[in-house]
Amino acid sequence: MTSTILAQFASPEDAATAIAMLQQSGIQREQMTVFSRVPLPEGALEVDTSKVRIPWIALGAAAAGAAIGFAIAAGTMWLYKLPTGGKPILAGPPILIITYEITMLTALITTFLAVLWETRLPDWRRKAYDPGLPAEAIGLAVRLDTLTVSQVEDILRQARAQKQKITVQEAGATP
Amino acid sequence: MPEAHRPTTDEEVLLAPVLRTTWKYAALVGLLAGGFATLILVWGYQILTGMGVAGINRPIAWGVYITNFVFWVGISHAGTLISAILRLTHADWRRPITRAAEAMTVFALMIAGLFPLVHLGRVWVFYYMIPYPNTRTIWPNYRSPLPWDMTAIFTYLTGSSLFLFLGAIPDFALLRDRTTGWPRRIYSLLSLGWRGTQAEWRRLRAAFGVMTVVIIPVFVSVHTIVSWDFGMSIVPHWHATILAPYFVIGAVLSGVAAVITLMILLRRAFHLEEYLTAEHFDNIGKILLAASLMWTYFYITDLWAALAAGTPEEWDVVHYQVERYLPLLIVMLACNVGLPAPLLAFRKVRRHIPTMLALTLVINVGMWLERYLIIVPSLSRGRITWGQYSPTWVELSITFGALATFGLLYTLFTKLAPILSVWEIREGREQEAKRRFGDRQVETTIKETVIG
Repeated sequence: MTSTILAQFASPEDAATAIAMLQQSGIQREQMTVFSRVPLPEGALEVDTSKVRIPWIALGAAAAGAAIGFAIAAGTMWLYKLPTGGKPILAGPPILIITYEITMLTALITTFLAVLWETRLPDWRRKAYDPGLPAEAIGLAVRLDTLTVSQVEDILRQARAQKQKITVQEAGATP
Repeated sequence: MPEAHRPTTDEEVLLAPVLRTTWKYAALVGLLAGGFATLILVWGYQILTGMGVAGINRPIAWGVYITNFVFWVGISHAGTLISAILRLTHADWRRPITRAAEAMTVFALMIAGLFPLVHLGRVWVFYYMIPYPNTRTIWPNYRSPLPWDMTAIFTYLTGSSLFLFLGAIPDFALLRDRTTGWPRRIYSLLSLGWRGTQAEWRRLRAAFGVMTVVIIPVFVSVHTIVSWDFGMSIVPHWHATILAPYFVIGAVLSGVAAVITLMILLRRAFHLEEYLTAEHFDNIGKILLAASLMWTYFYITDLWAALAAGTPEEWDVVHYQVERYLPLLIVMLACNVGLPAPLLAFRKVRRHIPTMLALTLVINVGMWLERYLIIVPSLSRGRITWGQYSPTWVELSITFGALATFGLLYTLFTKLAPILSVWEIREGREQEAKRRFGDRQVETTIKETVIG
């Protein structure tokens, strides 16, 4: 069983101090999770440095959407021919319009699904989290593998953590 | 009896409409539900009796229903304009407005989508338009602008709904953490387990970045495609290439006016004076002024091209419009440009909220008339004689019932999610600071480097 300590800080600066001190003590970035009610400026607390692939996923989906849109418009025009006074069976403008709209539709839906995929949501299991986190506070969860609970508590106290709570989780669970 | 607690913090003020229900709210929902019931009953009457109860007939096959369809699609445009374009340009003043505008887009599109079904008559065969393998030996004809409409509006509705939901997830998580019982269960479901981790915020921002950029061309294309329902025909005064940008700018005008109307009503109803300030109305009023002037330019260009061409059919329609519909034409021009443009040029007017409410309502009356005057006079030109059209009580009841239904959906939404985005407003506050410049303390803000 691993322990996770949840701490609350009044400001991002205190949280940054705590993170730096924990890293110096041997805690890895992957063992820490920062929570906030609002997004922090990019790079403010560099705990999560994983690659964000959403734009590339959306681009790929758009390409697939273009192919689907073309197939729906041009493919069906070709399969279900509707002769109208000598005009082309495959009409350019409608094919372009439908292809364009389906491209956008696929990009939008896939972007949303990519967020869910990358954040592993929905996930309604109990995880390390403080529901009482105030709007202006920063939460920090530290999964303990190497240091003891008291060592981490000391560090957090030095960094002016306002509140600390210890939860015990299954081994291997991420905070 | 203890004094009722007056909300003071951001969280209390912005969550109060969701967490507390007043008798006024309940009364409003009751009234709007009555309007919704009227819509359903009268539409049901039309389905059972037949389309003859509506005033449309040869040659005027499109009347109030299609006017409403175009009108509501137009209303839906401002949500994306304000949310996406202002996010893209890092306009900080957008924060209290984005969710209200995005919600307006979603519900306006739902109402817009209702009208082709109402107009269809035999609504039970609407599924013929859906492209899936079937045994009917027919397929949607993509050479017609009507399936383009269906595809575009479906794309816009799906994109807008996902955009709205994504932005609301952090606030659903906040409500999950602040409620108990069955509301907590509902918000747990809606928040998807969101905890506000850095990984989650980074991905939310990335998604906003992508969706913002994608949804802007969609918003332009939707009303362009709606305009092609008219532009791709050979009906005189419809068959013009200027119709696409003319419709888009008309949509922006009516949509922005509708957003302002909603902002004023929400501000009053939920005591949001601290969040929706005169500054917001000033800024959005400038957008409205620009839209009014651009609309005027496109209107004159459309008319001028028709008159300069000198074709008898075009002149006939313009003459007919002036002879038969002169009062409506005058009201339309007064509502869209005569009143708003000179008044909105003044800062004092833009910052005066009762005047802004009156102007925005007037603009939307004018824009509805604009759609009506595009559709009906052009179709009146029959092969042998000019047709006559008057909306019946059925069409008018469905029109007002649809307006009430929009109001009902919107009012119910204010009970589900904070109508002002709590996390975005808090983010804005945390990025603000006061700094001394010379003799004055001025407000500064952190420069946003990412979208969303």
